[in-house]
Amino acid sequence: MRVMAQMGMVMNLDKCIGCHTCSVTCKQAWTNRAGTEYVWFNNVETRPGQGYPRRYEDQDKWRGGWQLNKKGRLVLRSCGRLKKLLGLFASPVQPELKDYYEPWTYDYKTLIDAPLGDDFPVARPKSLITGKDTKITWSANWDDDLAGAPEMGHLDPIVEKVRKASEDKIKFAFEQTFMFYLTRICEHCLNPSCMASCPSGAIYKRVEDGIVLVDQDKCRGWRQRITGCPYKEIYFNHKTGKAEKCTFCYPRVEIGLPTVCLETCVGRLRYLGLFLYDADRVTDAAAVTDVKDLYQAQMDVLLDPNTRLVQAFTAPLHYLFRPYIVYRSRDKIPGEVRPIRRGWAPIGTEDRARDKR
Amino acid sequence: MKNVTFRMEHEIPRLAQSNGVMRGGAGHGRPAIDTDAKFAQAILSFSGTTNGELAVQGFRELEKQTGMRLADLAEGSAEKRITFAQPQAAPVPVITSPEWSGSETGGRRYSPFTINVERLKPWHTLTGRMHFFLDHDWMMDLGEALPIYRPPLDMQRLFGEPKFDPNGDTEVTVRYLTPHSKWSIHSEYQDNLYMLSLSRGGPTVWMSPQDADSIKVLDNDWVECVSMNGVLVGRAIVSHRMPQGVVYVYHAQERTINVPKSEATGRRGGIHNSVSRLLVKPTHLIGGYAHLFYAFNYLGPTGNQRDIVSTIRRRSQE
Ligand code: SF4
Ligand code: SF4
Repeated sequence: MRVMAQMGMVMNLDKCIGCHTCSVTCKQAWTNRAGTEYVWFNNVETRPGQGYPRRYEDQDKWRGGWQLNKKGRLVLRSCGRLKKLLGLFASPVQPELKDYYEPWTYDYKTLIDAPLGDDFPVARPKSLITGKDTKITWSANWDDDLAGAPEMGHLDPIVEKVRKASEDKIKFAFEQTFMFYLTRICEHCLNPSCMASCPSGAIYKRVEDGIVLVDQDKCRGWRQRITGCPYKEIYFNHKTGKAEKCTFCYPRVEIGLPTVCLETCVGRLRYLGLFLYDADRVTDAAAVTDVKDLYQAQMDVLLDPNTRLVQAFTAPLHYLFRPYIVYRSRDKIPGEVRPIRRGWAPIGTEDRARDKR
Repeated sequence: MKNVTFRMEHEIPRLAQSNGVMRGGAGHGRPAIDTDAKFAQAILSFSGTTNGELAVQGFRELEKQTGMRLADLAEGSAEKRITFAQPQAAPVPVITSPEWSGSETGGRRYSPFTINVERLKPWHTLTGRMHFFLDHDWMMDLGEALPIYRPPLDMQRLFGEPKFDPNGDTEVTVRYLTPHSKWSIHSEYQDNLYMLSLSRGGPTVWMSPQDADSIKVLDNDWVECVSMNGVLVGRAIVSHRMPQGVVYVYHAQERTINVPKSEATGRRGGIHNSVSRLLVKPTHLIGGYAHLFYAFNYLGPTGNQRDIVSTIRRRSQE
């Protein structure tokens, strides 16, 4: 047993009203920069709908996540390690801008600056990629609230699958309308396939809270892990040439604040907390053969912090070896956080030196 | 306004100081409001929401009428005055004022009737409470003393609007509804880039697949909604969420974002309310009876300006 901690978020999707407040506040906080115009770490999709990027759940095409090989072992769906390394310079299977959307702005200035005329001026869309006039034909959430479903609804990979299985039972008709909102952030997976497919090892899972982060210094922009993630929650910053992803607002979480999406959620449907799990059992849980067993398998990985077994494995063994009394400064380097008041410097530092008394 | 009298003896000389005074004519010696900017300044000076002194004054007045403590809602802002330059530079939160029923004091978000609920300010009805039942004679005569369902007006018969259903294969006449939109408050925020990026990026008209088919409109095609009153240009969103015979044009999508000129008039079309109009009905004429009275931009019982029909046409695409 290897007890690990994971910062987790639970979302009660029944309560989501699809207001997009979470997406907008997240974007404002984290991806409001050149290079990430098209990036939404948090997004809310309407289902049935294709999602963002388009049809990302079609793993036959995008080859994200894991699959079981003939021996029943978990392997990346995209390809093995060696093949990955050999194919490093070829472009991996990954969504292009047209699969996300071409971000735009409007020439809002015209509204103020247009010369006096008979008609009201209008702000026209300009591409944020080329800076030129553009036509808006797709957005980060084109099929919001079933928009365009009669024409494009069948392109939702899940609809496609269910239709095949049930001989055309999903109908897009007024009397049979159903929809729900799917709120998404990076899952901060227990078994992240993005990390497994990153050749430069720039992705890491923090040991203290399980948050999955990209080391911007190590990332070499191979873009393999965009393929690797089954949810396409890794984005390529086209200005820095590096990958970026949801950071679970770690600078906020570290000081005891909730994530931005949680704090601003209008439906109050997000819950945040730390849970313990057994890292040794994650792979087995992910390797169950019947998808219906997945939920129970995941529950079995979680640990109850109040059981004797978990307490035994997390027992502070170093207690046996440390002296009874330990002196330590609150600050790692004294004086780094706030200046030392006279007479309060830790022992052994300068102003306690004998000659200064 | 709402039975609160504001005294302007301080404000008028102050406005004369900032705007200057008129020379000659009927307005001789009065504060000048001869330019748009000066007029805007006059509005800001005379409203409690932008002039703390008036807000406090109004609440004091209301305290006398109601016997409840209210002035503390604005007292902290008594010195505050929002001038026209401020909202031009950045958004400015307004001051809680008796003109409205909500409270923004202490950074709260506006919500209607907060002052009535929390400060026990009576509602403007005969009993001072919310009414389901209106015992005015006319309301009784017209059968509207209790909330009831009224079918939409027959606009074809009454006003000669075109008949429902497709007319050839170029136009279809439907009910035209204007529900409140997902993210904007009237026109505010409707041009927000992020929300436009999370939808269709401009003004839209939600249509049922049947109506769209009947005039060969595909999803995201440009269409025009025409009525006797005006025209709106938007992109069609075809969705089975809509029943046949009805379109949704969400409230106050301004014509400032990515719309072509209309083919019906050759000019820039209007917003949702260009197609709709207010129809006065007899109960609107009740006056001087508690909350049933006339004030500017306020007309007693619920109106029926949403009984509108509109003819939808596919137009040339860009
Ligand atoms: S990016 Fe997030 S959701 Fe995707 S594989 Fe990595 S941890 Fe999982
Ligand atoms: S803010 Fe909350 S309710 Fe609104 S879309 Fe996001 S998750 Fe749903």
